[in-house]
Amino acid sequence: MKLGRDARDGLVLLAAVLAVFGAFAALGLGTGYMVNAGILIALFALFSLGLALQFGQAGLVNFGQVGFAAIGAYAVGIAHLQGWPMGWGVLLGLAAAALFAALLGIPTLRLREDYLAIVTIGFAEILRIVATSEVWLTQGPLGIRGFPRPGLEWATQGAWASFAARLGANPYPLFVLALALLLTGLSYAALALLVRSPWGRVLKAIREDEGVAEALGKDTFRFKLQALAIGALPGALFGMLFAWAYAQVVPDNFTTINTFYAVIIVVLGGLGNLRGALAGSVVLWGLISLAQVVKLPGPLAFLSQAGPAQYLVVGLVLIALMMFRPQGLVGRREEMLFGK
Amino acid sequence: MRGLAKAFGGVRAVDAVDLDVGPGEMVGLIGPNGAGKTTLFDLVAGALPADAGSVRLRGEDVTGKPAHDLAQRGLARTFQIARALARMTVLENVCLAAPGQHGERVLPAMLRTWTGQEREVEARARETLEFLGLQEHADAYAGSLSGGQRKLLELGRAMMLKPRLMLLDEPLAGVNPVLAQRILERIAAIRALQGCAFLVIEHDVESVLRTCDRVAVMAHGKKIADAAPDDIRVDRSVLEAYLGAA
Repeated sequence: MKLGRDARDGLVLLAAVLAVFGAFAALGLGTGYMVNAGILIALFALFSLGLALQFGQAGLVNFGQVGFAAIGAYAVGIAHLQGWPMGWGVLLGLAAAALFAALLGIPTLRLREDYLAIVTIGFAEILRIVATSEVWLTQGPLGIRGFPRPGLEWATQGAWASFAARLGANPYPLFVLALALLLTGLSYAALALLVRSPWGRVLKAIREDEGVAEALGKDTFRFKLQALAIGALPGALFGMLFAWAYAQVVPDNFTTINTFYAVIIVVLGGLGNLRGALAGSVVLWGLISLAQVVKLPGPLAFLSQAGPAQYLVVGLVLIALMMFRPQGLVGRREEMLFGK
Repeated sequence: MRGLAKAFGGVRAVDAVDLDVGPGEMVGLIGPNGAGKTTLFDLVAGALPADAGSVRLRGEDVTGKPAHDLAQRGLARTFQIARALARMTVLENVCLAAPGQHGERVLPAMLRTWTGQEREVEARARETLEFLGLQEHADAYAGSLSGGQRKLLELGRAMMLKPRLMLLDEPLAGVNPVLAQRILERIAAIRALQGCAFLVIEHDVESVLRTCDRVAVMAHGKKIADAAPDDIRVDRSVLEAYLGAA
């Protein structure tokens, strides 16, 4: 039986989820651990979706995705400090992320592609440093706490609370997981609509050969700017959810390593396919979560003892996976052949 | 085009060239390697900014307009080394080129209000592929096409623009003779069908002299001749440009 691409991608995703959570169960980890791992998986899938659009579809190298997350998180936090309602913070965060994307894009997108990479990585670092030092606005390294979190009251009482109790999970983290899954799903659906439209076709053409897209009458600058701004939105949403999940907004949450997690996720999942962000996040955060609890036997035991060594194991598994499937988990092998 | 010029450092790649292409006319552009033919195309198509001179398209001054704007105004071009969008299908390559697509704007794209127009675009693209004999490859990645097929694909993309003027940069270069014959036939058919004008760079001088209404010759960035094919055959300066001064 030959499966369609949709079914095949769905199966890969399902298999990855089952493998990761099956391993959790086999190790005797409780629901609480699984919920926390699930939150990270869902959040980073959302975060990486933006990059899957910008990098995977349009070929734009955005190394500052975490900057858009910081904008989202700080919008929620600062709205609270200013006494504004939470909804305003959310809107402010999304608008500011799109605005900053445009500000970064306007001077760089007419230049050679590497300039965008340099500018975006600088932008994210500058934001983090501003958040650390401008204490009047952001409360500096101590960060912002005590802001309202959506659904906190609703989730900790009544039906949801008893549902969570039956699963053996804390009600609010379970609620955040559900919210993260919902927003990731919605963002995926919205981006998938875009990618499968004539708009998405132009993005792919830009990735393949911008000069050709121009010669065929496409104003490539407009498309690149739009892709950058739209891809920033899931980044900002990630920041907000991250703030709500951990009840704090601190500069250290927005270091550049997070952007590179997203890069790993989209490459591991498969560039050129939005679903790569979903599958990649399951595998990367599944591996990281497992590496923290698995005790390796015999002479390898030292690898399980210290944090950095755990990441060594994750790295080795990633290398093996990329050797086994260079096109990524749900990537298209044919597209590897015709790459630049 | 009038007085068109472009220098790269000290090299005057295109030096004050005047050239006209009338409606529906087929003009050949020949000249030795490095004469500035492709640079002239880049200037006309807006891929490079000109240092001096002007370009008019259907009476309108379009000097300095970006390439995408010129394409929308009816100027199509193909490239010397065919540039297929490799990781897209042949059909996608051709559909992409259709002008005025509603679904290329973000909101309509998400609301899927473009599907009706897309059916028309796809139908036209399939017709175009059939016209070029590429229909069997519609769903293959463009990266899997041969060099000659890529040249045909570029022609197809250019046709989708319904241009008034096509700039063809060496449509026959590196193409096997059988396919080259087909490309020549298809160019003639496009001309008959769409009535668009052509400016063609080609090193196969014999084909150019046989098929074009008029032939311009460039050497060292300058236009050295511009006449009917029969006059070009006997033009001394042309022979000198190709063979070196006697």
